[in-house]
Amino acid sequence: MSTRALRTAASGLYAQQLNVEVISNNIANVNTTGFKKNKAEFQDLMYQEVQVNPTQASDAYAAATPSAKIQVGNGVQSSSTQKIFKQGDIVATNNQMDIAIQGDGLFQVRKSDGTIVYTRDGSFKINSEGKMVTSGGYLLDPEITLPNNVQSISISRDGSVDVLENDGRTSTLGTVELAKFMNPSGLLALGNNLYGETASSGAPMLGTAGSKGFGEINQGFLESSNVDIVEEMVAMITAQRAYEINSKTVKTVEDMMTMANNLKT
Amino acid sequence: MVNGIYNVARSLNSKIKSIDVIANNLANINSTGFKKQIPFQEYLNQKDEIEVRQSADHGQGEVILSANPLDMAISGDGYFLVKGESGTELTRNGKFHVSEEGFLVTNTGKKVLGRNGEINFGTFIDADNPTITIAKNGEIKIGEADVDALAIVKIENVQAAVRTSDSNFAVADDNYSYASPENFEIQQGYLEESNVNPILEMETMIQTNKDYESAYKMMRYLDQAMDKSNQIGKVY
Repeated sequence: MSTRALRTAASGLYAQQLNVEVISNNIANVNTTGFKKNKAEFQDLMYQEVQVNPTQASDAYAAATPSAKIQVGNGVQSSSTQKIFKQGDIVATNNQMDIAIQGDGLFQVRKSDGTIVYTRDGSFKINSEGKMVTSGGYLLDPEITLPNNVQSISISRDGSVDVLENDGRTSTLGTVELAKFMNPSGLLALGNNLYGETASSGAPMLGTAGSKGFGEINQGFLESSNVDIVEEMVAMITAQRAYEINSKTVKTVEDMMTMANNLKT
Repeated sequence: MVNGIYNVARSLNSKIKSIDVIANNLANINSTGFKKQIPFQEYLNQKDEIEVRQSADHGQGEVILSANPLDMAISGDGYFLVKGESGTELTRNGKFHVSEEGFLVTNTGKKVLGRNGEINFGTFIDADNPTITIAKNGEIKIGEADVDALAIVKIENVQAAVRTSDSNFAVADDNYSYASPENFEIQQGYLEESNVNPILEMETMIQTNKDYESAYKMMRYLDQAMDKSNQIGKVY
């Protein structure tokens, strides 16, 4: 007896398990600043042509007719997990080093090995050299270095950083530049809220906040995770039920196999 | 009587193939753009011969928001045209991205075709206005520049469309034609879910299982009957 249906159901079980893994990661990151939720995508596996039996043992008709073949699929595979770059809620923190992007765009961050990566997490800090860094300690790019006699920092909507020094002078230190991608969901998630450029995301397009389709920068705010618990719970229920229904297939096929084994009394 | 046993065996065998099809539908309950397969049927044609027919349910799946500019769903009739390894393929899976060379490709890297052939974004990418808009009728724009229009086609003879993986159908070049724009709408930022209905599949599965059981019982009765006939005339 063919075990194709069993293997097909197993692929369905496996796919739903992966789905639940992705959902549970979203739920775990419900409070992660700048987190963008993931979605698992699935597609069908290849099909095979199967001969349908001839009418009678002696009847060779069906074997000779191409239309007596049917196509049977082999189950499901996961095709990708994609990031959903939907805006998260903007939450006031009253911390002057916290900035949030309202709209499209990502901050550019230089990793210790020199590569540029991207993030939506705007909870910046000042390191020992007076430079703006992410909470993970990576440098913001282009670099912004603060003098050591700063009283307050103001970051405007277009990203320009001004400081008020102790002696009452103000000066402009630079601009926070944003990067935009044609296909942001193609970005590679690197962990620590960082994303890397890939072939499918396309090359970054740089620009100033608030112009040409880029979002605006809000000082004193952070973007919270875009995970919606209700949505995730619905997805989890769906995944669990889909898992269950595939296990019913296993049960049904098992029943049929038992019957086949009992054909001879 | 021996004939009867062959008929029953045939029924047992075909029910297993039906279960294979149902199992595949249920496994693909979350596959983007999947169209459910209907277990095959046999029928008598005009020449009184038995023919086998297998069909797909090309009905609309649920359209859900994905918030990605290169995700597209077709609501209404029609298929996206893509260039497969061995010919033209059609799909309802609108999960596209841009390849390294700038082509609009499917999830598995097959090129999506427009009215003017392959769609290449390379020369149109405008750093000043990189927004991609896809109109309801399939016209693609980057910023203000017209790129191409998606080729949305309909299948002429649905029976001749062969399934390949990735929710695609392979078709011969003379088996499709452009769909008229009033019959479909492209929805940018949405994806079409699988059109498998779990209740209907469960119903078919239960029915197939019970049919299998009936055939199984029938075979046991036939076996018992043959056993009895073998005892006729036996000398005790």
